[in-house]
Amino acid sequence: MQSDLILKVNDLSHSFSEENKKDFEVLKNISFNVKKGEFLSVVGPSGGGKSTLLRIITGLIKPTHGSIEVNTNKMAMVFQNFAVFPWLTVHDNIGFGLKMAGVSKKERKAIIAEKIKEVGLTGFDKKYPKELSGGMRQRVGLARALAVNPELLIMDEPFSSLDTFTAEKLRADLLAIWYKYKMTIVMVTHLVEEAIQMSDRIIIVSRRPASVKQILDVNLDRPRNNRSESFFSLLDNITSQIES
Amino acid sequence: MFVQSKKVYYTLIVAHFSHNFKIYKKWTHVLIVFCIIILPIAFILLAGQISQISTHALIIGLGLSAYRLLAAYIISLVVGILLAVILGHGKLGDFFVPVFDLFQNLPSFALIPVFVILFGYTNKMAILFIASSVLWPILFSILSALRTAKTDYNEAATIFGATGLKRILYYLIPLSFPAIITGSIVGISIGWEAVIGIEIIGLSNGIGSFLNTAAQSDKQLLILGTVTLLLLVFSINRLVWMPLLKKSQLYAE
Repeated sequence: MQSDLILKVNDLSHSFSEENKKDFEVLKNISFNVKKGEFLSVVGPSGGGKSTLLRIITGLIKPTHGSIEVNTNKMAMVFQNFAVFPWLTVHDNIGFGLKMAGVSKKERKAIIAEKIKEVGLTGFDKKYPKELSGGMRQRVGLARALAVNPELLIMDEPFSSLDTFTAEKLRADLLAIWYKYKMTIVMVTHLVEEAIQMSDRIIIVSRRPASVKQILDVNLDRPRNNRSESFFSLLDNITSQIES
Repeated sequence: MFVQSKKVYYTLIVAHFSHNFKIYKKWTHVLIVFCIIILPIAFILLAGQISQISTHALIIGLGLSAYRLLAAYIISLVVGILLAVILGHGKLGDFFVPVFDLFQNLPSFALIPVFVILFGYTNKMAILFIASSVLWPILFSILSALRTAKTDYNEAATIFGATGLKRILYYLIPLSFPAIITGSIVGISIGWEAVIGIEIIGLSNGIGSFLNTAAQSDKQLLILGTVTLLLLVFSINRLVWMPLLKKSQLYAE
């Protein structure tokens, strides 16, 4: 693999087989590359198999056809419904990946403290997820992922279960974190605006089975003005492609 | 390296469980243990003093029965957790859960003759027999917790590196903690039935045997024994299980 690439998806197809039912194809002939340090979004209709794509990239699911090449072993994921463990405090949730990797308690503490500050959870470290709002829980999910210092951060509709204001705030915070660390981010979303606002490149996928319709560069200056003419023309372009 | 990591795991296990039991502040913990033992005994002694009957046999009997139940419970808990986390999920679980269900449906009292043939009329026989009834509610409670766990949690645990023994210690056991508590509450209550049953049927000591004998000779002792037993069961429920149940509610989202 070229050294500037972190992920290569080669002709990937996937079907779920269920007993007594016809195989159910969710991904079809998907190929794309991801460069180191880029922010890539995958947009497409809801329920179109985008999450399956992410689960194949992270190795949770073995694809029925095609292959994935990943050029890093430092990967982390942020989930749509947060998936923070209800039996752990904010502090321990954030430190979960570090603990599994065998990082010493002292080191863990320092990293956790740093991440708590970065995602804006100061003062919440002793709280349990049950006591937090959705936005706060997703901050925990984000901090847990950042704590393992990922080179590739996978995000599955990270802002879709949040209200608009919370999501907007969290998007801004994520971008600030991304500017600082420049890790690679692959994000799946069905919100076109969100994809344009954040990413360097956008992959538009079709309705099930998902296949790549178009890959386009977002050549807008950062920080992006989501009320500008060029923003809207891109938005219209992508939206019409998804709907067609 | 191996020895070192083994040591680390041991300390981790201890750290993990001590974390779960923080609901008891040091002094309340001591107080609770104290109450469970002191309360029933004080009651027996006081009642014995007033009614002028010898209560020595009652204390010994109650202690022996409690010991049998505790031993059986610990065996059931360990076996239940191991069976559930090792065989209970995924494809293995699809095969083993029906098998467990088959065994669960065997009436445990029907197994007494088998246990007696294997172990004679011994303490060991009693403990294993009791464990054979206590195991099932604990096992099935954990199984249902593991099998209905959100896919999200499973995936997050995998992605953040919880594999092998670490997965069991830091993911599967905490995940099933509320189920372990509810399973234990049901298991212990079934366990008391099994203790009393086996002591009446197959043994000549313990509280079951004591009550059985008292029923035929001294009605005062029977009443005293029954009330003491109820008091013990009640205090264990209030002082051990209720706080743990409350703690486990924190785990639910």
